[in-house]
Amino acid sequence: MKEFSVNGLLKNSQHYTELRAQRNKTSTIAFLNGDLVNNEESVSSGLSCRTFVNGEWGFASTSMAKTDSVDELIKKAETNAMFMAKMKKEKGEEVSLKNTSFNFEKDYTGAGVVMTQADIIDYGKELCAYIKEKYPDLKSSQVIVAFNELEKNLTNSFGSQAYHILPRTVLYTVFSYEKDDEVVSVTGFFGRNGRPGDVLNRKDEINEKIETLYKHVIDKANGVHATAGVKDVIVSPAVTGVLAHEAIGHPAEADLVKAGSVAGNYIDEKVGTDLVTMIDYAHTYNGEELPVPVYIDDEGVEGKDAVLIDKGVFKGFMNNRELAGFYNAEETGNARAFAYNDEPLIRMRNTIIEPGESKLEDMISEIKDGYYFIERSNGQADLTSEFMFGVTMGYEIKNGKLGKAVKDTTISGVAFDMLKTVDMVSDEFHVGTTGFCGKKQRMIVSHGGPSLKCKVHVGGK
Amino acid sequence: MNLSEISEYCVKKLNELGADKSQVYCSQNYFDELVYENDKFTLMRSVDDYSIDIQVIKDNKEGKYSVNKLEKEDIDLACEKALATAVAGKEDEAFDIAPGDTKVTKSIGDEEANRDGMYKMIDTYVEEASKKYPVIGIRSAGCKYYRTKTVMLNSNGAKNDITKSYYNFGTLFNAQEGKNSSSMNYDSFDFKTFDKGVFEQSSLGKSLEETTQHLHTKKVGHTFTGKAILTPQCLQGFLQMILQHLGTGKLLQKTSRFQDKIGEKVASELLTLKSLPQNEVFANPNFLTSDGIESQDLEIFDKGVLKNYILGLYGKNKLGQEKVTNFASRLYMPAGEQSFDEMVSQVKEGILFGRFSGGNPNANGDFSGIAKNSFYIKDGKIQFALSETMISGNLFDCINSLWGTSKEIYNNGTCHLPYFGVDGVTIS
Repeated sequence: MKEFSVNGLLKNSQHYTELRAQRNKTSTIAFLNGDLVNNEESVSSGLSCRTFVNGEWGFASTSMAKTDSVDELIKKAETNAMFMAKMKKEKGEEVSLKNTSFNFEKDYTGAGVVMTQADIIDYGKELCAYIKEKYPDLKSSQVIVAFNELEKNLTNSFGSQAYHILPRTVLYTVFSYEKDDEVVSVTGFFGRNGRPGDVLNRKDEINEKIETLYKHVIDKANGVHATAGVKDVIVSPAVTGVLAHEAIGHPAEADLVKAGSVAGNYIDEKVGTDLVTMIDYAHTYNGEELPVPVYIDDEGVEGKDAVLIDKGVFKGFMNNRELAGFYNAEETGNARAFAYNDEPLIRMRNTIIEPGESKLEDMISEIKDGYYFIERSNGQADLTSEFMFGVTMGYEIKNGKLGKAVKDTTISGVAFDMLKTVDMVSDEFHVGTTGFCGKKQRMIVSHGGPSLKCKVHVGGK
Repeated sequence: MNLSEISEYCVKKLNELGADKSQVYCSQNYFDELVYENDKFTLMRSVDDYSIDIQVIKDNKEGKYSVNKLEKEDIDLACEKALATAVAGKEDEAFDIAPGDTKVTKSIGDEEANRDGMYKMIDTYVEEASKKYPVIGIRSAGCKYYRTKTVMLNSNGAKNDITKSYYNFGTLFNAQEGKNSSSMNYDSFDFKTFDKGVFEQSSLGKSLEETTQHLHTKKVGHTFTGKAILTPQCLQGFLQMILQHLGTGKLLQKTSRFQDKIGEKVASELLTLKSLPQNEVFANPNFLTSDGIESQDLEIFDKGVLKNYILGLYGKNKLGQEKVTNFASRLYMPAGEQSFDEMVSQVKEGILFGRFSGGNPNANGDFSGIAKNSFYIKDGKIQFALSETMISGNLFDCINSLWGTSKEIYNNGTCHLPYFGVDGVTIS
């Protein structure tokens, strides 16, 4: 898309307008028990225009974009906005957009070894052979390499200009093991920003992950079912992250606050213990760049950290240009679109609960009868902050010590109640690079933090 | 070049490049979307996109490549990339493309979006909902018009030419009184024309009424094992989890609970389920399987007996089955003999199970999660709306304990399902 520069193409637009040229590349290979069952690549690109006419948004996109067809696309978006204006019954107060701009350019493609699809398949074959030889007792195994790359070129009427390209590669491994006619499965994730050649060469880290995954599936096969009820638990950084994203992050998105999310009632109110601080970081944490670096969003707004909870007190929302004006708040730059033909929505970036000072082993020793939950599957939450997550790997804690593994279970609760039970926060810090969010559109996100000791409702058999 | 010419060009080009078999979909996809959020219309969006999806088999190795450009140099590059992807693949005799006798030509739906109809539908829905259900807040409502024209050709001689358009209406809502708020609820349906309003062609009225009752919820307060009446919306999700056990993935992994069970009774005699992909009962039919073969009616369960797996070409070949049966779209479960009220009257203690919010069931079908938008039933009557309530059970025990399905049917344009009564779920 760098070859399709959008700069200077808005000269004929009479209204606030954004123009975004974007290209998404994906590649997936999937092996099931050594058979290659999926082998595909795709490239999708095009141009979109969003315009704001008399307080109404119009959007149009085309995959057949050319420089000389930009005016036509802008006109189509304006026609859509004017359709909205024509149908509007009540002429309310028009929302004005803050006139702010920002410029940014960055290429995140690494300088590592270039891997073709053939190279990735060869890598997959070797990994399957390694797994088969090292773990012959597995009932089945899957190896999936998924690559995606988002390349965007943006300009708007306020003068913002951006170009960035962000690749991400994730290796998924799924192990299934059968014992006493019961099959258990666990899934491992290894993801980094970068093209496959920059990520899959971390052989030692990957083999260590796979060894841990095998230990987990064996432990789980010999595990027990969790006992239902409200329990003292420790949730790992992976579970903390999904909790932060689903149960607290979504209700704190300004569009969902406007839609009635419970977070709208909690500004400056205590929603957690003093140990809980949660921030949606734009791009950097403690000087280190995070997995989803958003220096500029798709409305051309500079990405800024959004402090959601500070020492247990709920402080604010993540917003876009329009809702920053509506709530009279500083723009956070959370508006992002996944594909060229998607409109920007308020999306989380790197949603993190800040680490504390406790040691994990001290936290475990504090629990007489509870659980240590390590890995989660899917999760859902309501705008009331009621949440549910599947837990795919965890251990009992009995008298301050880890016990048997537990089989698949579910944890649930009301996040703004649960945060009030957090009485220890570990000094660990782990942020995932594998997450996708599905709020209307798909979007790469990242979340994480430390381990939390708290109380949640555990589902039993 | 038009779509047909592009498809022909690609198949010819791939043949010249040395492909053994090739299959090409060339599509023009257009949609208009009108969005209402939080008391106002917020967006009109138009998307015009093309796509070329290429499948190539070379030396029993398969590759796929997709691009959304129609310039000759882009098409040539896509063909070369698709072949290179296949050459890089792994040999497997199970890879295949649709047989040459596949010839499907269909054209349905409006040629252009009825934008005024879309606007009026949302506007009327919001107005009627606010009058009939004053505590309901419509958080969003959207109406989409989709139009897809697809030409599929392959090197066996198959040719499909499908033009399809339809509308979709979706809405998200909750009840709110002061700071007291219910959980969010949602529903959507596909439709062909604007002859009927939202409440006439959907069960949204019932959903809004039930959500109103969820302003005031209670917990059951004790743990019990009893009956659950799954709403059709809840059943839809459960069926997808069960049908995974009939698909290629689990059958190949030998982790399916239905492994080698064709012809065997695996569920209650009350369970009959079909896939009727082209049936007129559905506003949005499916004419082709994902392999490009004309979709056929499929019996999945007949009076509790497992009739078919859900297999594409690869799964059929890999597992040595006789026929391609994929895919389980447009699920059809016939109406039962009891009314919903009669079903409720048979429940001594249980729940009306509105939606399941839970993790994926384990390999054995054990599930646990939250019963959302649900009600407590005691002594044959619905007692109160439930707050955070855990439910657990086993998928396969559920279909074996099926004790009734309702006369009332939910049809959202893509499925036709009744209320579904099961036993043996644990509520805590």
